[in-house]
Amino acid sequence: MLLLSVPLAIVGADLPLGPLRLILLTLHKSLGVCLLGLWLTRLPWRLWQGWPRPLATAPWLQRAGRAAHIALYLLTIAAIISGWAYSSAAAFPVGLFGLFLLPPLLAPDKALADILVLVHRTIVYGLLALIVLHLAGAWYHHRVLKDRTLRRMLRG
Amino acid sequence: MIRPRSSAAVLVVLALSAGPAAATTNCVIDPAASSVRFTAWQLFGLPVLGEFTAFGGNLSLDEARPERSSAEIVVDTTSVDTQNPDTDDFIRSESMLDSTRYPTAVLKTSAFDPSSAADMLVRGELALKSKRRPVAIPFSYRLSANSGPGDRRVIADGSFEFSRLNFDVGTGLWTSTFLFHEPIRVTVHLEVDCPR
Repeated sequence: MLLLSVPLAIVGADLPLGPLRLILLTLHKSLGVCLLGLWLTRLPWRLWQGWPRPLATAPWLQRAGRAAHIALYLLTIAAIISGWAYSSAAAFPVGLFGLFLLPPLLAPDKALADILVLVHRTIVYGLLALIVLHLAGAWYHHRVLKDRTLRRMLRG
Repeated sequence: MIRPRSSAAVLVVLALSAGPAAATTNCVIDPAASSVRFTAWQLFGLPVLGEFTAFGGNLSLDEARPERSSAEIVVDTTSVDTQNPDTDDFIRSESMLDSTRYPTAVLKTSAFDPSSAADMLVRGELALKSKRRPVAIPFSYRLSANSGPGDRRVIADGSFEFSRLNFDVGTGLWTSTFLFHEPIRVTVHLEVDCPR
């Protein structure tokens, strides 16, 4: 969902205000609201179930894996909230495919919106970088350490 | 009579429609206490809220026979304010209000139909872009004690919806009601000073 939402925004943000931009950015925001719902569902489940037991034996790998998981959760919610805050400051409504609207987090403020859009982009790019790093780590587990980490990730 | 809401270069005019001379009072809108707001809905029903910050108008008030009152309100379409400058520019653009060619929208009443001592259906004509269409706006109103430069103040609230496509608001791809829904809702709050 994230990997669909981000390209929509990257393409849409550079378009002039028109139908295609409206469609792309509205879908981007709706997918962001979906992500928020998934995050709010997933986090309690993860806290309840506990983190998966690391398969790596090296302590530094275990610590890196745990740090990456926590960072993924934090950056995901930071990306969502910063996008929501930016839309609020820019006086753009945020909703889920017309089913409902989210209330604005902030009062409209052009100067603040200009800052928040940069914050949102920076966080999202950081999140994408972490996802790439995470996938590289999974590949390392699969091909070098030859453990079940990747297969376990794919099972969810 | 011309009474700009602000000192901005944009003209806001409210012209007075004359009623029976002996029985009417010429009243002037207090722009600072009044508002002309709108709500439009775009893709997935997401609302676009805004207002026009420059407008003006007069009311010819016949207290004994309110149905004989009349008014004309002129709204400066360049004064649109959605709290997002890009959206404002877009609304002023040719495909929407085309504010360069049509800098004003005019509501001119033709009949006031009182339904009670505090409610009235105001009929008239809305001129927007190159189109003129009849409108009927339910208003609630009351007279208040002196609080401004006039001796009395009429406070009136009305709301109506109009088909944007009937006024060519949204051309080209924007004629799609999937992207830009119908209708547009306008909510008017007027505070009008009426000297004795």
